Amino acid sequence: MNLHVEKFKKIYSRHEVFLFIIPAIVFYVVFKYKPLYFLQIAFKDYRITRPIENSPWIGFQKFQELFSSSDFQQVFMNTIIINFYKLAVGFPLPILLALLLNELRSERFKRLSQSLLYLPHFISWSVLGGVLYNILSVDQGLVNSILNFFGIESIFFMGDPAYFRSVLVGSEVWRNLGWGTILYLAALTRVDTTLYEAAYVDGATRIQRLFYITIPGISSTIVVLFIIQTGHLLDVGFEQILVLGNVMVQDVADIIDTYVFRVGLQQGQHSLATAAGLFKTVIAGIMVFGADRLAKMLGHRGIL
Amino acid sequence: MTIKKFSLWEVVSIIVISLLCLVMLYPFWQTVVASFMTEAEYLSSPLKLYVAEPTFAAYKAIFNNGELFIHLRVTVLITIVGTFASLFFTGYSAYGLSKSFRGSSIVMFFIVMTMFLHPGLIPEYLNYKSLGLINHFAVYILPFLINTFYLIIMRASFIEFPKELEEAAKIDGCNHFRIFFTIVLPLSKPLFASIGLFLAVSFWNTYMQSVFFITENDLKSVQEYLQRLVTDSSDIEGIISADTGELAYNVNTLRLANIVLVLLPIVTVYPFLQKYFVQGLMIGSVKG
Repeated sequence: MNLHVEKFKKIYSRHEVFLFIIPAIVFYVVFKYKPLYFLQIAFKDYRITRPIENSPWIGFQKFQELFSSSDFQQVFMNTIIINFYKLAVGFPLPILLALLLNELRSERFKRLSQSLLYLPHFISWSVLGGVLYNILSVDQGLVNSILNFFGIESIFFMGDPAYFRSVLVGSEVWRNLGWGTILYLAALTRVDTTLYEAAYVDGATRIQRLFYITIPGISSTIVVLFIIQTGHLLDVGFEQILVLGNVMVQDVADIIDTYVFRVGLQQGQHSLATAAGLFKTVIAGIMVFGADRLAKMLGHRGIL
Repeated sequence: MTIKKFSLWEVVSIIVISLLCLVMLYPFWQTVVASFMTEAEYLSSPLKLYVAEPTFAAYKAIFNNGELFIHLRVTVLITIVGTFASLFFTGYSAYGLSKSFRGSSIVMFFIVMTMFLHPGLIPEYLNYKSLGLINHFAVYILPFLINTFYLIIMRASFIEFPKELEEAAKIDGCNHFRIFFTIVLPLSKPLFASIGLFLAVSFWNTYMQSVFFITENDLKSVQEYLQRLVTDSSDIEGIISADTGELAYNVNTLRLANIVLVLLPIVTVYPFLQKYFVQGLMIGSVKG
């Protein structure tokens, strides 16, 4: 460290380094720390018509209002339900796909299929939403045509509360399944190939090799990624729901983020919406730090 | 190493993966095909692998109407200005922060903390309002000038930079600015290329900033405009009612043609740049 400092002194004088970091300091103060000043309106009776400084302090009144509103309870539950649904379906699938991709011996086919599978990740929700509306359309949509072919009646996927969460989960998988394999594939290449050779010599079957070599080899990646995911318990994909959601499915698809947007920006209840946002940030912070602790307790590198 | 000459598992994998690719990509193909259909063909059956009589009617209507291009222009500007500005400021700051100086660890701490401190939508809105950024193009760019995640990655790579090069340049009389541009930037080209690509994609996909902080229609990003076309009938019907031509398309083919036009840039550049995307993620996972 000392050596580093000494060498550094030869290169740049103090004021030169400040020329480098001044833009960063200005940026972080103005765009990341200054907004925190406005968090105080969660504890104030703020109206657009008067400045924040003149608004009276009201303590935790807005939080009480928030927690006792049935709207927010619903929204909170939706957030958690959608997240668990996405976790239950969306987490194991990339692992399975990575294991399948790992079986491929033809490098060319592997690379081609990877490129194709990654593609949806780079496409915006607006475009994916448009494509989705088209293939899920009630009359002559691709999916309903297939259902009709098997004698099942058409389903109004985008407007039926019974199916909408599945649409959210399915489209999330569509977008991120391929991309989600990358870190597992990287972990798979690090598994020692001599282990496979030894196992083969000892007469281990394919299944045994999978369970005793491959999966233990990537287990730490699985654990760390799982912990990161649970740390984001309250982030359910704001943009996805903004694009795909609509009034018909609001009861099942309204999440904390969309609630903050509607109540705050559209209805102008700034204090209440800020309280909801602050609640989310605090819970998310606890979750992330808790997840990090857990990872370290389990002997992993941690995420912070 | 040969374990088996031929494995059943590999065949199963090839079949499953091929099917998966088909399921994931067919919807896009269907969108493209149906966007070239005449109204009659679309109504008889939109689910075809190819178009019997392709027509550009829907595309012509979009060109004649022109509103898509107002929003495309906004998004192209966001992408170009945003990517270069963000790449520059993120790299420039990362370079400065790769040098240790008194208080450098405190500065880094406050920077990393912002990854976890989300003030929420309303405080952000009030902040932009106090800065005069509401309904201003800069709201698409300024809040993203420095990307904390990429800053951490770049800083880690600059720390490993050989000091001798910088020292030599300094002795030759280069100032810090020239060292950054003539030594650091050229030597970090692959890193900048990968990160620049990710930035470009996220700027191209700009949607939420437009929904939250822009009310003036001419400043809306193309992604929001597209979403409005898909879910709201008033815009799309406006295009049709203003069209005095033959109307060989219908509402659906018109929507699909719009989707295709917004999808096109990503899909055209993707095959050429795909390896940089993966490379970029790997850099992030190893060092981030």
